[in-house]
Amino acid sequence: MPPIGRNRIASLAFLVLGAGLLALSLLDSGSGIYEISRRKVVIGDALAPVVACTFILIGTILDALKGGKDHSLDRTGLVNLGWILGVILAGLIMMRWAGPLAVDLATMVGIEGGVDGEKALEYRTLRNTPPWKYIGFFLGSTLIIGALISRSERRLLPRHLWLGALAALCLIAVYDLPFDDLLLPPNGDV
Amino acid sequence: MELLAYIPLGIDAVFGPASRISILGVALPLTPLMVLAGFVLGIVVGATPGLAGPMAMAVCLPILISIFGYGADALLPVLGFLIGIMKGATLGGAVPAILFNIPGTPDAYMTTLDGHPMAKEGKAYQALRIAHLSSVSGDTFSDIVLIVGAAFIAVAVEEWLDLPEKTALLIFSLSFIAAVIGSSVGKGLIAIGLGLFTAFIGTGEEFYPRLTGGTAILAEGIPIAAAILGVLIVGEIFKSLDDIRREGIKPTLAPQRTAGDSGKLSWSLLRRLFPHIGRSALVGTAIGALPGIGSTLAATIGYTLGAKIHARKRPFERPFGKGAPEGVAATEAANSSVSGANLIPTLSLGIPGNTAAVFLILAMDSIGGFNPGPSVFRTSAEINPELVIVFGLFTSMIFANLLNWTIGGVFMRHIGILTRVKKHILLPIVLLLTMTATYIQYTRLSAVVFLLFFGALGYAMRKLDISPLPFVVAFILGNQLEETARQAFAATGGDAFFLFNRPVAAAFMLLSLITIVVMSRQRSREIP
Repeated sequence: MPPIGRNRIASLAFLVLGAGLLALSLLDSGSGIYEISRRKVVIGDALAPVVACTFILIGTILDALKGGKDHSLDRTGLVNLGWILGVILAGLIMMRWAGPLAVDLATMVGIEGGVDGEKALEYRTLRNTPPWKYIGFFLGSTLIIGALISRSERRLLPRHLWLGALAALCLIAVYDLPFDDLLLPPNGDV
Repeated sequence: MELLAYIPLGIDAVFGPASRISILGVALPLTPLMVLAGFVLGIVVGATPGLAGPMAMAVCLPILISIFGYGADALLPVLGFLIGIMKGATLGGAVPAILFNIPGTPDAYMTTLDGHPMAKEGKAYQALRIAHLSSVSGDTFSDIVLIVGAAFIAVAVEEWLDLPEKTALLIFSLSFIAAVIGSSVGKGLIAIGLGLFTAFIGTGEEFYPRLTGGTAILAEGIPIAAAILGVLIVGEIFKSLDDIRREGIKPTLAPQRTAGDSGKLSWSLLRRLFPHIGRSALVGTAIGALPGIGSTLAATIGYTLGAKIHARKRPFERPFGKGAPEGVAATEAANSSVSGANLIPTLSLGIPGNTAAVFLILAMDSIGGFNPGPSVFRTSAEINPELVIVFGLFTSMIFANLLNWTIGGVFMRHIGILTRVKKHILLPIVLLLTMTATYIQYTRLSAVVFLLFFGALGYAMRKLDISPLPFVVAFILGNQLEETARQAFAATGGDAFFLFNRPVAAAFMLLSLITIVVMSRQRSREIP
């Protein structure tokens, strides 16, 4: 038996996706395809998503009937995508937590608040105060840019991190320095 | 007030005293300055391989909104800047195509076929001048058609189409986009279905936000900018990074030029070029006026048509693909004449014509005070502020064309060095710019997570040969389609067949079906 082609797998995946979304549309829309309201028939919230799913299903069938050369979504691509997303996730985690950790550390060693019985400072109160507000963004951005460049060049050089750091500083200069009301990541969440 | 009375109001909104700012004690009109800034940025972005006009529009939009705020006064400076980028990027895309055989933008691919052979023969400056002349001519023609045509279409739509017909027109637009964009009709329909479904998440008329599974993060709906930027920009960055990882980093090329290349265009050469420029401008404008069809297709058709006519009429001259100046002219006039015409469906129907128009609609949606569609062209006894914006927009476009004619060529001939910027360094920076821009707009990390999710979706769509543009257009139009259908259903007294028992609506529905069936059959024959 010949192996199932990539297009067939994609068609099957879209068929399952379309059917799944269709079931979700009927079960999770708060109302049906139509409703009776004050003795009048009105369009229910399920109709529009059902129409959308019909597009997906008809499109899948048309595409499966058409045939043609295989698409190019392969394992290498998924590994590359996973790697890119992993790096960005690591960068976002660093963005989110580097600032608060730095404040905690500073409080512990007595650089910023927390000494002589003063109340310990929280990152939240410093999220619009330099340099604290830049720490997470700077480190996270440096990590993301540096790691992605090194992945493309297939080697890790200090130059990649320097480039990342320089780009992060430029972004701070563009987005933060001229505007008082803009919050860099992650300062709107903390 | 009559329609023509809005022309001076539009000019005044752009150049008038109320729109001026003081720079070093001199009062200068703000919108033209923004058009100029966007135009220069657009040329730079267009000339840099790996970057494109929409990317620059995406990262600049939050900064522009931060500067100008959400008032009606912000619309013209912001839209002027974005229009400047749009026009500059089309022009800049030809530079690396001619000098280095690398299309700066996808629609400049055909320019490489004749432009680069010309550069290799020491005629790089001449090729750049031809590209500039053709691009600006096509663009200007397209803008004139937009200015004349958009109002007529909008008035006709408002006059003749009622709610059922408008619903049918939206369905026809989506079917048409699904049928003509991408590798197959089926894939176009899948993209439309996914876009519509995404638009419906967390919306609806019931108290319960549908399709959310009760989760709070989906209850507010999908952040519009995050979804659009994710699919269009981040998806493209992910794919480019994947390509670089597979193929390795390409070495930087040296420009092809000789000292004796003045680039001057003789009258005899111009006479040979004009028919190609005129024909391609018509082709590009006609294609651009149809929603969803981009400049790449226009360039391909303009080039192919030009090549056939050139081979028939001048069989003894240099053919297209071997360094024919006419080839550069045919391509550049066609791809540039799409940009103005693409705003016809955008302004008159609220249907984005291409990716750049998507960002213009996104800006209008973010700032507020302007809802593109036939109603903006409505005239009454009182001044319609939206119509003033429209004519202000036209004025900005004409000003951008003047810039294009005067300084565009000079900029174009001096930015070849940008091609040396390394794509694998630039793309992660653009990715971070996009992430930061999204965060600044929504001030929550969940928006960045949405951006990355839709980026992964955009990557998968590209790898599966599914064009992301139908997804984005359906996502933008989804709620409008549902709302219009609800109103039409109610207005016809709950008639379930309201799309089929009125002649114009039925005609649109029939056209939708014919488009899908015919294009499916035609494309099946194209499959190898």
